[in-house]
Amino acid sequence: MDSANITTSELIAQSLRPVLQHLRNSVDVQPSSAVTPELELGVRDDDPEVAVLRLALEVIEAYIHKEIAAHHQYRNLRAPIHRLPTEIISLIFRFIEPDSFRSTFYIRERKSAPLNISGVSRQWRQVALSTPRIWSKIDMRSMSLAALFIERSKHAPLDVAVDQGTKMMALVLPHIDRWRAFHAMVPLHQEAPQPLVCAPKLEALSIICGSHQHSAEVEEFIHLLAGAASQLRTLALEGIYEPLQLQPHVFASLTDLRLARVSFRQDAQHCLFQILELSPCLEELTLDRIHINGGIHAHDVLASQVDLTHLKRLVLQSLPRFEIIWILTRAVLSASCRLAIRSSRSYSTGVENLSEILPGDLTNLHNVQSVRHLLLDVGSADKNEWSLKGWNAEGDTLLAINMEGSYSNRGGSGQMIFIGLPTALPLPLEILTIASYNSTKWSNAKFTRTISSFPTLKEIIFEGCDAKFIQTLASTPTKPPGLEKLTIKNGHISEEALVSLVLARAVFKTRSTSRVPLQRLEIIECPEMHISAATLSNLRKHLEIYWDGEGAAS
Amino acid sequence: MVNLVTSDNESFTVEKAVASRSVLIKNMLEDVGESDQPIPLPNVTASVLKKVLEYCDHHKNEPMPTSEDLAAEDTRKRTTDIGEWDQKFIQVDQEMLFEIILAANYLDIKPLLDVGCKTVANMIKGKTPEEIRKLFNIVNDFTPEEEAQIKKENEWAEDR
Repeated sequence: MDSANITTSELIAQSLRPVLQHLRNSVDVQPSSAVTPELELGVRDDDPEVAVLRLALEVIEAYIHKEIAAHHQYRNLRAPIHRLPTEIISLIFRFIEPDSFRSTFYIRERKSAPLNISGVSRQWRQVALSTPRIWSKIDMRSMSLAALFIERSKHAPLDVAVDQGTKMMALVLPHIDRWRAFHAMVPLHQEAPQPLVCAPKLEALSIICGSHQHSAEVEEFIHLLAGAASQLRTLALEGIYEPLQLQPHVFASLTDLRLARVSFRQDAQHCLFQILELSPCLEELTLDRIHINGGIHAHDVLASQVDLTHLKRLVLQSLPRFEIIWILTRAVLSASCRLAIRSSRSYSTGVENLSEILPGDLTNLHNVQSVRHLLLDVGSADKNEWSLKGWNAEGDTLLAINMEGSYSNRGGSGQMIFIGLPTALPLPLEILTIASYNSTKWSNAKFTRTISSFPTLKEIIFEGCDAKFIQTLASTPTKPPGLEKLTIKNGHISEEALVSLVLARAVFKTRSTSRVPLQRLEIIECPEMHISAATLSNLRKHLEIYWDGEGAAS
Repeated sequence: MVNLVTSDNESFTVEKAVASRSVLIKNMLEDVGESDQPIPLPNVTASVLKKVLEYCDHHKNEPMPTSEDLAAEDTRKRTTDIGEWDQKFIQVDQEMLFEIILAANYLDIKPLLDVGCKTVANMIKGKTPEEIRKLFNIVNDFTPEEEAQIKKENEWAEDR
């Protein structure tokens, strides 16, 4: 037969003949005893030749799949990322699973990063399987998955989170010598196996207590797990209704402490500061929904100070106002410590004046004292939210207050917070950003008085503010006297008002030593603003102007 | 000053403090002593070395990571945070990103290697295998048996 005229089908038949003959000779094909669809239909398919053909089909199919995989594998070698050697791919994988204990404690936020990356390609799977550390955060979504992670993590430290079920505890308990982080709800189920020895490598421990959990049981549990030579760096306790009497060694190495829903008896409120004094390495402290029975008395506010200058971050979350001020009155914070105060609607009665949460004397709050740029976003009146942020001269965030609450004075809280700024934060500010200050009911005079209280200001940024407040800078051109830069963002001011403002601020004959002309004006994201080319040209004789809509306008 | 010669035969004359961000070059300089001899870098092209030197120049005054730092980082605090300047610096196309990583590995510049690897890690985070394949132009090369095993593992993740 002429090979040029041969069809594909004939070619396959020709090629298969020796294969089939090989199978006939080498395989002892017995009629299948299994129930096949043919049998069910009453047709016996026990022809040995059919069995050989079926076998041939399987062999060919497997061969084709293998060839396809090999072809794809070869194709993958040419992908730019495969130029990276396996040790670098392994390093990349280790960065994907962040080494944060929080992701261990919040199981629901867990994503299957190791599963995803091991399902990309054969090379990636090989690298993933030979990088035990990426399997360290045990995925507890199912027993099978948890067992798989434990196996693949080999000897790497484990981050474990168990609920009150018995099976999961039974699975992870044999590996207690590898536990690096452990999160549990106590009491554990009565039938669950209980830890009997300490977890020698334990660095992070998170305990959520069931209702009316006695602190003695929690203390016992923590002492057992942490052992005498505790290396705990992170401790998170939630839902404790009595003060804890933990041994000092538990706190000795702590860098991160989170207390949530912890109730202190009135006579034991000093317990909180005792804990802090026992934690000399503490870098981050979160106090969330702390309750002090019976409240705090005036003499407590005046009690001695607690040195927290080693803290890098202090988070006060959903605390009553009197507790915030009580803590901030006693705490001594370093200039680089970030102070975050958050309050959600469910836990707050609202703060209408900063003096309700910030102490009158800021001497010990070196971080607050270092603030040079302040941003107040008064939010929208209907949502009753406001936020305050403060940065130092280097741009590091030192203060972040986010308040959500219900206010007695609906719609007026933004103005009250703003006009309270100079009293609560008498700082030599250089930059002030005012956001969403747009209620036309609010007073111009009060606005001007507040701005005037910061005579060191060099820059003011209005973001989403009403024009009437921007225009006050024209009516009181000497306050603040050193204003060099003005930014109007997401707002609107008429061309006429803008000219008045520039002339008042940038053009004057008699100059006192302290009064500085405005040198730069920036107009950003203000689509409603219209400035003619001639006006712009005239104004540019007096100061620099950047207007992002200039091109569009022309 | 130090003279570096790339694989495509281009010369770069840089301050010793800049070149010494590379542990490889630093060790070579210490071994050779004071010399005007150019240092050949056969694994790095001019375009990549230019970027690497930009990084080294920006970070030249920072303390070099000690072996203790590296060991500590190996056991904990492995985060994917990247500094603001580094983030802008590493905004390059994939080809250049991988070349920078390879060069940082060859030249032994650990902080730059970390910036590169963190950038790739951040690109991967939160993506499905199919999205990752698309991102890096990888094809699924698993055999049916491997595919079945992967499918089983994913079913376990859904099985609560």
